[in-house]
Amino acid sequence: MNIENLKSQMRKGMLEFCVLLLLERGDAYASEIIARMKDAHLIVMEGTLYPLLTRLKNDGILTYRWEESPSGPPRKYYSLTPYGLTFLLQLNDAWNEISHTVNHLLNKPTENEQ
Amino acid sequence: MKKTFPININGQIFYIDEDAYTLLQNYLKQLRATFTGDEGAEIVDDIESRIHEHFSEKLSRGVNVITLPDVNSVIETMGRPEELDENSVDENHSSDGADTEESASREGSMPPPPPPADDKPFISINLPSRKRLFRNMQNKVFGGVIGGLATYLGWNATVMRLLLFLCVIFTFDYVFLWVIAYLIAWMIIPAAVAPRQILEMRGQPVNVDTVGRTVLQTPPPYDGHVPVEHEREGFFSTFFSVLGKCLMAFVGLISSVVSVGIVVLIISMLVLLTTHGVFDMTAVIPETAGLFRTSQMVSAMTIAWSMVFLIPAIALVWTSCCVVFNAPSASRSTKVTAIVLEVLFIIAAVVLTLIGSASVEFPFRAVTMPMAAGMVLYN
Repeated sequence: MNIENLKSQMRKGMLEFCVLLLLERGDAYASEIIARMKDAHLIVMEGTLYPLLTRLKNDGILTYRWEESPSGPPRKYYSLTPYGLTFLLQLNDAWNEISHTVNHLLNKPTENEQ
Repeated sequence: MKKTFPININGQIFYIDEDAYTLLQNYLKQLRATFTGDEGAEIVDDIESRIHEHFSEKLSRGVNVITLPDVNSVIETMGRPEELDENSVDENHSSDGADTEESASREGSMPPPPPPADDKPFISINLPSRKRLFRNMQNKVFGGVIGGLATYLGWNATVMRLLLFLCVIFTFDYVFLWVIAYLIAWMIIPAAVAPRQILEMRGQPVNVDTVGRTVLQTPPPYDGHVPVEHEREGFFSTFFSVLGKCLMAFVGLISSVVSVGIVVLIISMLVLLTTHGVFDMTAVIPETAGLFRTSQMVSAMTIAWSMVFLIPAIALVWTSCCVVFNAPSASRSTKVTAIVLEVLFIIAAVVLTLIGSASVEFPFRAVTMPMAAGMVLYN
């Protein structure tokens, strides 16, 4: 088991969740999302985000509109759909569960669980 | 000093170096091969506009021209196609069992929303790294046919040339067959000029890495005879290349004499046509008169033979026009069609002649072969 591989898989699992969380706070275009994800060290290569956004859009979780930008060509602004919001809530529940479990294990490592 | 030209990304003009442009083109091409379908086109468009953002950022910092390092750093930032591809494979592995529960609980609300990690936005396509047959322009005596064949088969080109040379020597009676086969191969097999073709010829995988390297390694086309592979050195390779040049000169001389002959022949045929009103070959070569049973046979045979001469004549005229007026030369399909037609007419003419005179071998046959060779050579 490769530790780097496992770490990158953990990050990858969180990627969609984080993108949705980000978009819940407000609509954004791809470069903004990339900048934030890079700050959080969630993605290394920018190219990984585009397939993900397109997939989420085709699954009806995201939608986008074109908006003029002060400089350069129009930008694609992504936003959550109502279905995307329920999807995010479910993911949120799952995350709470996982983080609760992990924290529980981290805080009480010696207690017998069985 | 480098050649630079303007490109248009998302309606904005950038100036980009030629090598950087080639690399960028290859990168986008490979992304398109990795991300297929409508969804893939959208992804690549988005990535392209992101590349545009990177470039305009560079330009706003006072840079005038996009150079190779710029494109390399953008590719580094965006990720190589195969890296993006691997990610999808990893995702697939990680989601084997764990995801089925979640996907089951989400069903029903939308037209089947696939589990997030299971659907693959990028179908992994391994770009063809299999070898393809090209003419090796970096290791050639005439047209690089043997060099390309040797590269294709993984042989040493000089060994292959020696073997073929021996083959030709031992079957010297049929030397024209070898010549024609070589010339046809020369015309039909494409030359490896672009970096991608060179990689495919060597059977190396075509990706941004290798293409980038080849872009930098390959001498620009028409730089001509830069020997890149080591095997060109040594006695035999030099021998072959000198022999090749001598032969080329000899064949060029012969074919120019033959072509003058054809032109004279055609003119005399036209004169006959106008003076006698009949396009009758028996008038050109009196020995053939009286060999044929019917006049239809004679005219059919005459037409076949005149076509046999006419096609190379047209090819010659065309080629000389191309050279003199710098016009585009005939496409490959045109050449192939011309060869096929030529061969068909030769067969038809020979068959008609043999039927017409069961016992007499037609004297033209000896003339036609070098002529066909001349035509091919001029292309």
